[in-house]
Amino acid sequence: MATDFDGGTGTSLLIRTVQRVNVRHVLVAYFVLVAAYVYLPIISIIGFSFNQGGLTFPFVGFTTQWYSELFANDAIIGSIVRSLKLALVVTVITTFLATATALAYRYDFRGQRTILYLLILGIITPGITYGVGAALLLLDILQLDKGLWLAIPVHVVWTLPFAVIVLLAGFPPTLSENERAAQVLGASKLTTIQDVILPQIAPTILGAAVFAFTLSYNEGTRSLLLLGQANTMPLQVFAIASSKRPTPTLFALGGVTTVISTVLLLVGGYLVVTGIRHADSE
Amino acid sequence: MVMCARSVTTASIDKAFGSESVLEDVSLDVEDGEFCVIVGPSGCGKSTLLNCLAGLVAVDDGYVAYDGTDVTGRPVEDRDVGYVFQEFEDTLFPHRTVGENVAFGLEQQDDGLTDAEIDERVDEVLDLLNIKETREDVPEALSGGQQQRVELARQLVRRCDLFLLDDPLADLDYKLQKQMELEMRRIHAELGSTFVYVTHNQDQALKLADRLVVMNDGRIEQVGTPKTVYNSPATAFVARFVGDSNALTGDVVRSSDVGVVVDSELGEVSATPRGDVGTRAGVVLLRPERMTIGDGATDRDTTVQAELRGVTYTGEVTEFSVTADGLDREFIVSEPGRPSFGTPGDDVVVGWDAADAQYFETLSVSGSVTVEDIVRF
Repeated sequence: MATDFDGGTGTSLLIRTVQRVNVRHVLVAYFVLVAAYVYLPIISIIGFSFNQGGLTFPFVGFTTQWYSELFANDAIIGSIVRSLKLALVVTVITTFLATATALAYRYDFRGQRTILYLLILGIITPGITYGVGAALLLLDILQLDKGLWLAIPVHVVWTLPFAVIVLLAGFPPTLSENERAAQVLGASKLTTIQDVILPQIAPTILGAAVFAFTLSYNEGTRSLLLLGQANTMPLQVFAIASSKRPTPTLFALGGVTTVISTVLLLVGGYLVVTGIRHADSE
Repeated sequence: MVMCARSVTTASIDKAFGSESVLEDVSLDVEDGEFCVIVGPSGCGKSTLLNCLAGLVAVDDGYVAYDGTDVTGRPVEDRDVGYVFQEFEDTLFPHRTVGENVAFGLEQQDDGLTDAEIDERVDEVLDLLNIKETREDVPEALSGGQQQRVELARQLVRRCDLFLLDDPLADLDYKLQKQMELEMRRIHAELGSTFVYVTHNQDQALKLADRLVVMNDGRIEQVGTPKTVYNSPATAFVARFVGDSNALTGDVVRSSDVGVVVDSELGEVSATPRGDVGTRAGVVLLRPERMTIGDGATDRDTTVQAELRGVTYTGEVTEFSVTADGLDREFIVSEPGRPSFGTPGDDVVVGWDAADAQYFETLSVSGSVTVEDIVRF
């Protein structure tokens, strides 16, 4: 450690202090603070969903009444069902398109970079901006009626780039060499896809699908203007929370949604990471 | 046992990747049942030629024919060609075991082999290549040498009429390579198929080939038996690439009764002309084993006073590196066994006959090879 004085005792004292500080401990403390900032709201919601006193602080007593009220609330359950239906359809479409896209990127082709940038626009365009544009196109120009299914193209545009990126990252780099070998060995295109390519990318495809499902399920602002009365779950939550009398069932809903989304993401993440690790080891 | 073999003919193949020409006017005839070896320096286009023969790469010009039938447009999965890939670690199926990898080609064939027959053939070929114990392993768990043999196995098991092999022994250790070289000839004889084999190892090429093809810079320099290519090279490039040689530069000053007299760095030397000889600058190439060092050298057509620089014992022969006045580099003379001609620093005499010195003005089929390139090979 440098201990030479340069004339001013203040400077060298600071340097000495900084050098004595264990950087690792500082980083850990910083991480804990950030994690708390991120997770405390979520944890408090889940915690307070069992609060007998409802939305008021402090915690009065343990109850599950808000959960029973939640499952009896037709409006909320209706919105959840709508979200699930929409997410399912969107997942199927997105997974199919994303897999086809990712497979195309094994080869070089004209405009490949442009297409990738266009896809990523789906992520970086602000949600409500996209929602306004979609409403303009679908409702005003194409004169379509508002409804749940109008949200499909909008959700696909949102989830597709994520799925493509996940797939591109998780594909084994040797897919095209495997394909050439299969060709030489006499396999038809169909056999090659079935027996050589799909088995290697299946975990990644599933992971991308789960990811897309979660993204669609939780998406609110993009389809806000298109749904009319057919609220999806995020919109129903927003409606309740912004009304004059938000109810504690909201907390219960928040708890359920957070837990399920977390589980889904963990499963999806596991599938994708196993796919990537498998690809890396080749 | 398959008794058929397929002949392969190509005519005037051109192939370019983007603006880079990789194959130029390549025409080759391989007879059915032959073991044809294509050899050449890295980047000469030999792997690309193999890809064109297989149909993995489309030719820009020219055609490829099997047994006289034009197959240029036929997709590779319909050609029933065996192709052993150089990049075997990328082409083996990582999600299948060794046994499943080897069985794959058989499962695609139409002749309806039963599962039991497939099993038997897989066992047979794994046994032949000494990797029977790896049958239930995945490729990842194997060593490079084992993986290379799995790649070989899954092609050989198909018993095709034509096999194309891209340096299939490159990753094996020395002993195993020697063993497998013998196995290659034996498998070739047993199967009776045509082999087109690419390698950069010219010792292996000379050992394995019925027909040897030397390539350089996208063109074929020479086609012939190993003996012909070694003893009667068509161009200076072939003489330099196949086997070892020492090079002198010079011009022809006059003819003699044994050939020509060349004014070289070592003064006037006698040489045998090869190909057209006129007024261009040329090279004289001498094989180390055809030169004599020591007292015996004085009986030869040309003798040179030299200084011994180094002695290297290689097991079968001893290589003596010498240098002489006028020469800015060393020459190698090799003698069988382990004779002694002094220690480094001593004066020695080196000699050769005109018949052993080959003078070339045709340096290469490609126009871009200079005398400097040949000398600094």
